Amino acid sequence: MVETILTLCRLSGVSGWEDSVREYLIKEAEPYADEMRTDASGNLLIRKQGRKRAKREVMLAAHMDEVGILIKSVTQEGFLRFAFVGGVDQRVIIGKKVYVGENRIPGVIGLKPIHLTSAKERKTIPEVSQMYLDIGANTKEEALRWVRPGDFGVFAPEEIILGGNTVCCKALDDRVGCGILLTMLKEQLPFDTWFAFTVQEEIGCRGAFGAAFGLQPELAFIVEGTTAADAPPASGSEKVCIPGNGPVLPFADGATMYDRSLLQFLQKVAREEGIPWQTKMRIAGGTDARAIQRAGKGCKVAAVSAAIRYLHSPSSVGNIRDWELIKQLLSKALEKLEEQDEI
Amino acid sequence: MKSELKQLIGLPGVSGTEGPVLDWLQEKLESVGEVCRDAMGNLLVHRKGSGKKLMLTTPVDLPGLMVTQLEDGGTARVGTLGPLEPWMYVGRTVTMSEGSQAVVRSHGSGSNCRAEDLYLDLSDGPVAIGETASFSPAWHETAESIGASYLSARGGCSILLRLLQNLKAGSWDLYVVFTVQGQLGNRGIGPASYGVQPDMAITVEGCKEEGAIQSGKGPVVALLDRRAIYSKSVTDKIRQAAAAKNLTIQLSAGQREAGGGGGALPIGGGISTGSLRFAVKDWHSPLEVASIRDMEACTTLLQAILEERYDTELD
Repeated sequence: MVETILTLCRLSGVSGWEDSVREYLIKEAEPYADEMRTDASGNLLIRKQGRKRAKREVMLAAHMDEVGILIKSVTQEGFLRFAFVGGVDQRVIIGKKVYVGENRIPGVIGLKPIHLTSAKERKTIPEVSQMYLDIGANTKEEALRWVRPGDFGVFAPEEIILGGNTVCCKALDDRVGCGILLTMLKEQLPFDTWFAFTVQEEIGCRGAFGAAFGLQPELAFIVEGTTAADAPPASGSEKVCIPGNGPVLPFADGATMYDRSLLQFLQKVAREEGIPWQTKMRIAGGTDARAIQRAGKGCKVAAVSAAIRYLHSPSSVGNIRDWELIKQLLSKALEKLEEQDEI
Repeated sequence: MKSELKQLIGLPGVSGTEGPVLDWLQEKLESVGEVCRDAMGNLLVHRKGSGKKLMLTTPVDLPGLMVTQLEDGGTARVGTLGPLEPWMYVGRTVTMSEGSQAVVRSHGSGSNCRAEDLYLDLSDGPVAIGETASFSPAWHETAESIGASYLSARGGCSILLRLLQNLKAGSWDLYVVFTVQGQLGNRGIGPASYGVQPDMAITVEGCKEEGAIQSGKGPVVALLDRRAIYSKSVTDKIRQAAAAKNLTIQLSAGQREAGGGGGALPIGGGISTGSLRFAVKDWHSPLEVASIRDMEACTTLLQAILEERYDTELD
């Protein structure tokens, strides 16, 4: 499963351009899927038959898209001006390598040389309008032979394996979720289950609404990457959740109050199976649950998230053991859901 | 109305943990209609009728705090739910969703206090992460007005509860919906509206006393707010009912606070929506003040609409 997640991380899938992630998932899921379609927004919806018919419609969801950049214009000198797609941490992207468009034109994010900056500029975080992407072109015409305004840019995938079961790469948010769902889809399930791989989560959960509206599930589990904030100087109440401490089961975040009964059910499953879990210690951020909970007549939602450090940066760090525990918790939860009459 | 309102004020129910108030309402309402809960947790009461479908809604939840972290030494950190001024909570006793009491304290100072500065002093007993807290109930009554904690949030419940208890005739196919997560940007009303798909909706709620809008001067009919321009057909119906019952109403246009109606208006193929409100002084303070007569007049207006059919253009 870890290899699948890392393979998924290497693919480009900036919000709105999730194609290569979707193609990979289609190829991998095809032999196991009983029904598969891509809806009008681009969400990939897969139904997998289980041992029994579903007592209630259940949907597992993960988003395919990742944060990145969008090329806006080209300067006379051949540098590319860009905007962020999704909430990129602009403190960390200077000097980072980026691939532009489907032809994967390499570039690096540049900034005014340090010896030309004022003392004040050296102390502040530069605005994106001061940054540019350098693809090595000498003129505007030359740059336009390779890229066009409107092309997306994706952070270069350069994973490194760190100690303590941790891995660093781009797009862990939310290829972790995609990889876990893909793995589950290949296994035998207790009942018929829908898998929704959604688009455009990073720019406001725009895909998930349509996916949930179309499928109208009764219950939905959202599998996500969530911001960790456990590293210095965060201390005490500033910590949100911690990689390595198990699946994150939030009560609430900035966008959703999760269903208490579903949350209690997951906590019970974790307890019975001896799976460690943690909760989010701050009401912040958001997941596709925001859209899924309120689509159509509404549905009960729970999130099962992986704590990820440096979430929206090219170097996000997550813990492999957490991912395995999330998969274990979800599989057990589906088994036990079958025995559960009321949620 | 007063005694039920007083009981409603005493029930916990911060956004996302509305169980206690919904359970109480459900018990009261099982005899007056068919009762169910939807997936979001909204409580729906259905009184079958042969006419068009009318939906009346009011939010039931309170703004408040949620425990996010337990600390050594008997304190807990919290996050805030809904629009609230953190400084208003400092030094106050709050009631936890599981029933215990706690005192809110702050690491910050004065009115600069931020939500992150708040913490709970748990000398009264332990709490769990995820528990919510709201001002301990307060009630102060004068001849003209009522002062109570979260009056703006619970006044609407008592208006609709009273209506359902008084209602006699009427051909409308009526749905009364007590919605959840109203304080969090009216998240509950959309799914409820999609489930019911009414021909017409009226939202009932408290509104902030501001400008010419004052408590004691009659029910407020909102023409528009930050999220909606209300349907003229519905607003006219409320105004006709007010004229027929000789009730003074106030018209509001452009209140900063968005009402719930904006969450119903665009749902499905669109819903004709109106907004009926009662003005509240000292908005979101530990003791909000409103006029009981305004609230009673809201019930009278809705009853007139339901029983006397001002629904000609919808027929």
